[in-house]
Amino acid sequence: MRFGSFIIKNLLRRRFRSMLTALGVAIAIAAVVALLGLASGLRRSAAERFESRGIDLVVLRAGIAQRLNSSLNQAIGGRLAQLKHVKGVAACLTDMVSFDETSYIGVPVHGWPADSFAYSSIHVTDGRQLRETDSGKVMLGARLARDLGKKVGQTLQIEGSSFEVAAVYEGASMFDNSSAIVPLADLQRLMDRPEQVTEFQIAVTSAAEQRKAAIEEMCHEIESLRGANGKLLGLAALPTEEFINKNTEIKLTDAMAWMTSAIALMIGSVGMLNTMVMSVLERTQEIGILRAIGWRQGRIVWMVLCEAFLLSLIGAIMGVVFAIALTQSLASFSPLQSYVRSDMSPLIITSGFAMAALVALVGGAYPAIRGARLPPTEALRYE
Amino acid sequence: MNKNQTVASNPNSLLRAERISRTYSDGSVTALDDVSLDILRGQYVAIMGPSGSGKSTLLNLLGALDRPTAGEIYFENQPLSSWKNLDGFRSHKLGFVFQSFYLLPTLTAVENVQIPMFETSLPSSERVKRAKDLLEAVGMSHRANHMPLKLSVGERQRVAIARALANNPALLLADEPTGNLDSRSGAAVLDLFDELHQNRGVTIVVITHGQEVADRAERVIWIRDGHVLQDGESHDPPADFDSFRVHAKRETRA
Repeated sequence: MRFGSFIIKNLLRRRFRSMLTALGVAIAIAAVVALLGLASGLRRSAAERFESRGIDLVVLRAGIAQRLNSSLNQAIGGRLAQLKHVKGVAACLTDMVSFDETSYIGVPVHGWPADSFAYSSIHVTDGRQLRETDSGKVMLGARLARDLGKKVGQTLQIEGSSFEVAAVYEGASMFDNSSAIVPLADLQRLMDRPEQVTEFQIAVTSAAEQRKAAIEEMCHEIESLRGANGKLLGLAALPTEEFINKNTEIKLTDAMAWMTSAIALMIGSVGMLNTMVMSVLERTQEIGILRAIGWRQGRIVWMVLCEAFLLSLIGAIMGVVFAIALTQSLASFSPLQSYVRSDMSPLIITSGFAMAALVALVGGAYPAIRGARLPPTEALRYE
Repeated sequence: MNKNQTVASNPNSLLRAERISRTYSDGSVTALDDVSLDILRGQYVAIMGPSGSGKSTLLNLLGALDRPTAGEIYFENQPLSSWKNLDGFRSHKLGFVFQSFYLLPTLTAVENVQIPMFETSLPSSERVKRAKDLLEAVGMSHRANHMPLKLSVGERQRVAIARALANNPALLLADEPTGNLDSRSGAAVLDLFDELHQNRGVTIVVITHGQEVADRAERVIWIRDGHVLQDGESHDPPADFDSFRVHAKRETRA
């Protein structure tokens, strides 16, 4: 008999209780993996969107908490274009709109000028890219077009105005595929924000090894830009990674995910603690026997911890499967498609297993030590 | 043996208690008082005494399950207090047989016998082989894969004896080994002890109420109120033990 077989036999003694404990861990781990997976998916999609466009820097209004609240004069783009290391500047106005005819809420619509380098990051699969002379035209991300059931040439109502679908495109991220692009002037008019943009996206010229230094230099330079009256323009320049990390929605999602995960883990740990305390209490006399015949305290601790770890491992496997199934089903549920990625990062799955190990340690350590420390003579007398 | 007499070191000594005492509740209860005795290698010793006489306390101390509050116990003339790891001492030097067998209910007979071997470096296959050999030695090879609940009480005690022999101990300590057995099963277990003692040279210390058990031993230690009253080859109790003897015979015949 191997030590592992002994552990399994101990757990099978109370099958129903072991199963319920593993299920408790599974629910906790499923919550952790699913929520962290969702948060990570949002972050990865945002990063992919910027990477695909070759954006190194994002310029926003300084001091704003939310990106969409940023408001900058479009003319600043000209000054940014003249700075050293600048390869391209893309002005962008982004807002959230609803489509009355669908269940979609809060679809991002970008207003891009026809010459924006951002177009290079998307691949038009049907129709054509927006031109300088276009007005009342919209390009739809592939997923959005599919969900809206719109094809090139059909019209779409956005905030009460009619737009003709000029193209359907594939973007690099789920955000891109679930958003729409209209001419910048059209969106400015629609949102009553003349000459305004939410941000400038900047690509730098420097080679990779000097890029970091160039970006830092540019950030400082941009934030020091002054208007004709000598006052600071009030710009905040952020490298893309920092921009994503400071994104309020992503930070909120992260915080919610960690908070809920912490609660789930706490509940899982208490369940494990309860099970292992009961298990050790019921086997007090047996532990006394094991001690009497020479088992070291460490082996008793290891036995109880192994039982807790095995329960947690079973729970973690079930939990990860639940979490993957949950995110897959959420990703196929139309109103959430724009926000949920169906692919799960291996790092998140690994985190799930690490959390399960933590649950086992927290739930198993006290009963294990308590059981091991009981003097054999007392344990043998226990009825 | 006088109360204050110590036992001289004997090269053949296996386990020696020198003026050991054990008190409980901050010294207000004395379970064992200034007891000295020497178990020699290869001896078969019975410790007799009424309930509450201190027999189990003595067994716990001799078996390193507990420590004396005074005095010292020596194993092969080395004090137990010098052992850093008494678990290792119990595991490798002692074998325990209990009145209630204490087999693990989720394991088969052959698995129960392997339990003490986890404290050795034996590989799994070797553990199984040795456990099967031991079960054969106690006449239980045909029941090796049975769960304890499927065994008779006598068979369970045989499995427990096989487990006690798992790590080839120098000393077998048995606490009322026939206490839960009918007379036939009890006699079979005692026959097995005889066989282990005579043919394998195992040193045995049995704590018992039963005269029939003590009659098998070559040395009987009579104990009462935490003191050794008589220690020798005589199986007759001390003079004032008559009432106990009548009681003991009645118990073992029941």
